[in-house]
Amino acid sequence: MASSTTGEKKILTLKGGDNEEFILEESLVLQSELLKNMVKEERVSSIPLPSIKSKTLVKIIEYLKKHAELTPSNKEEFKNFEKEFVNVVLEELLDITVAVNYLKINGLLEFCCQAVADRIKDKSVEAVRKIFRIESDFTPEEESEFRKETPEAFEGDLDDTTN
Amino acid sequence: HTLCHINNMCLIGGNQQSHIKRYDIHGRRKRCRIAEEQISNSLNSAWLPEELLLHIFSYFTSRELISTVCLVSKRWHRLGKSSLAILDYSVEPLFSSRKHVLASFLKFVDQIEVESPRLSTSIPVRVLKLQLNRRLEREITQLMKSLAKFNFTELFLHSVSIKTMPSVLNNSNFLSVLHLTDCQFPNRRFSAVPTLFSLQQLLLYDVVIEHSQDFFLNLSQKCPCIVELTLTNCSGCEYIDLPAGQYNKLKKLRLHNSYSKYSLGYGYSELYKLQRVRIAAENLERFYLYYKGRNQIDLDIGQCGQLQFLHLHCEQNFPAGFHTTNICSMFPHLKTLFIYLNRPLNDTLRVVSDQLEILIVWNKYDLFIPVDFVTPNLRTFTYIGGEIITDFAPIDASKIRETRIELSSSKTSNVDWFVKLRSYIAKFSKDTVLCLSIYEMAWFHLHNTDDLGIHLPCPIKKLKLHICQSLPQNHCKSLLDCLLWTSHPEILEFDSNINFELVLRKELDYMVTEQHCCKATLVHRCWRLFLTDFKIVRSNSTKRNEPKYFTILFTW
Repeated sequence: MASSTTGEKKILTLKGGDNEEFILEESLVLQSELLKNMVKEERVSSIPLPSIKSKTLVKIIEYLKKHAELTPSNKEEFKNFEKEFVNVVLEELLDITVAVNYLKINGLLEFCCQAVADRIKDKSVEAVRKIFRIESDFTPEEESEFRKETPEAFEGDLDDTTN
Repeated sequence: HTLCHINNMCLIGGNQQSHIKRYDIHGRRKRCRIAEEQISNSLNSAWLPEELLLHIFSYFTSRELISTVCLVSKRWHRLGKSSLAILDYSVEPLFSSRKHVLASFLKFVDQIEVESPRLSTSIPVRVLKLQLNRRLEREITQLMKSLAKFNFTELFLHSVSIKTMPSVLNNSNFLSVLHLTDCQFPNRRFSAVPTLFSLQQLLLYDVVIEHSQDFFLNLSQKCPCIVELTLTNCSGCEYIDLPAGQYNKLKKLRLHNSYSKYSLGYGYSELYKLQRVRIAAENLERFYLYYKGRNQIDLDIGQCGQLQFLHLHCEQNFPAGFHTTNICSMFPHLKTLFIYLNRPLNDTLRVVSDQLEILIVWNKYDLFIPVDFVTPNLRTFTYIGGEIITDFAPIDASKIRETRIELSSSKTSNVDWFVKLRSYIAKFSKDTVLCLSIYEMAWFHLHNTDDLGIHLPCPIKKLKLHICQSLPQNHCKSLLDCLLWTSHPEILEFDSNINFELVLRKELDYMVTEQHCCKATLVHRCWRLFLTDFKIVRSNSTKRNEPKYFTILFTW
């Protein structure tokens, strides 16, 4: 681990939600619009990110590193990495997406939102509520009225209730 | 100042609240309080900020927005609706006067004026639904030109002729969903269709497909990013040939041929012309085939190694070229398998997989078919047939949480039938839910339930009963008797046309007054001797098309 700021490489510390510290090169965090602004304007060396769990932060830093290494020759490898990156339990994926949205890492945000959308696409309303821990606040009349608007299911779609 | 700034940036943190207050002395208190509210919410990862939800919703289609997103909660409903702009025009019925048709058409033109500012803004899902019946050809052609300036993301066109279609397709760089119903597809003039670079979902319903071999080659070039392809009642189609390398983005494929209200105009022979289905889409995940024609289809899907969902239903003839002995070695990722059998197989129906979760077997004529099911992770097993055939129950049923039996016609609803059902249930664990659907039931003739004989209790979690006819009360009594002899469910659920309620109330009175409810001796062990309590619950289903259910909770 590079402990001295030799040459041009600046070192930055990110502090995760459980006070765990992550030391990394400043150039890596520039992919995040939020951190970029902080670094550029304030010249800080340590940034607390208490809302982000360390586990999530580890994943995001892993992505930043891979993304920084991206060259035309390892594009395929990176695509596979991206695929694996979102292949986690939905709750973790949501944690990552919320954090990425907060940090404003645009490319990754697109990818995460798409992944979240793909994961809830085939699910029933009840399953989505369960995932997002949302209680229905519709009156029964409202609910039955909105359900009437729904288009008919295609043949072969009826089995899509698996959670 | 620096500290203040940093703290403002991490407002959404948990333990920094005291700092926020201390440094925030410049009248920004209110903003902080809102932020503090977000603190408690953001700890719950499922709470997503509005702009993030909108971002996620932009990846949905209008169908998904309306039938799922908008039904979740008021907040989701509001955000879902705001992601959506729909222009919808369906002409009056075929026989209405031209004056009438024109009037409604002009109304639609007004609607375009009203909606156009919304359609040209950054609303992610922009939908055009047009249902015509080729009567306003001239007007429509005009209209299409004015519609062409909008960048629709979804087009649902119904009875729109190909002459008018290209103008709306021309501005198609945003198009992701295209549904054509009862339209002519430009088979010979394929070149007139622009390349639909962003098209992901294509549905053709009652579209005549001529020269089907060229058709699918051309299609892959016109729609290079297609993910979902549905062909329903497309007549004239002889070959469905998706060659390797051409459809590598395709994930869902649905082929469905049966009579529909629109296809009446075409002959039977045109609709059932399909001879060969050869799919080499290497990333295909779901394949659904329903074919009602008499001829045998030559089916080759061996190269679809990523398949997770397979539904094979050929009504008259089991497809040639599909071998039932090695389904799961061909498709190692298969999670759901539906298979319809209507004649004896040459091979064993062998399903050996630790990935498979849902298995549905439809044995139309109760044929004897040698089966070999080794599916340790199966969650749901469904048997559809005329009779219960116990051989079909998977051997390792330990993880099965639900088993369904759907019987089309039950000829012998006598004691033997329940004995069979019992030996079937006995294969499952006590946490199993049994859903029993009987579509056509012969009357119950079970005068002497003593014949059921000795048995040990066979507990299951839930028995869900669905019978498509109402039964007279004396039959209800014997049915209930037999079902409770068959199994001791914790929960019995049944639809409202089975009048168990009355029977059970009588039974309850009986139990209170009489010590021995029936002639049951220790030898016969009637279910009443096991039962300690029960409770009747009436449930109101909010779901559309679902009958009301009664529920009885039993304590054994």
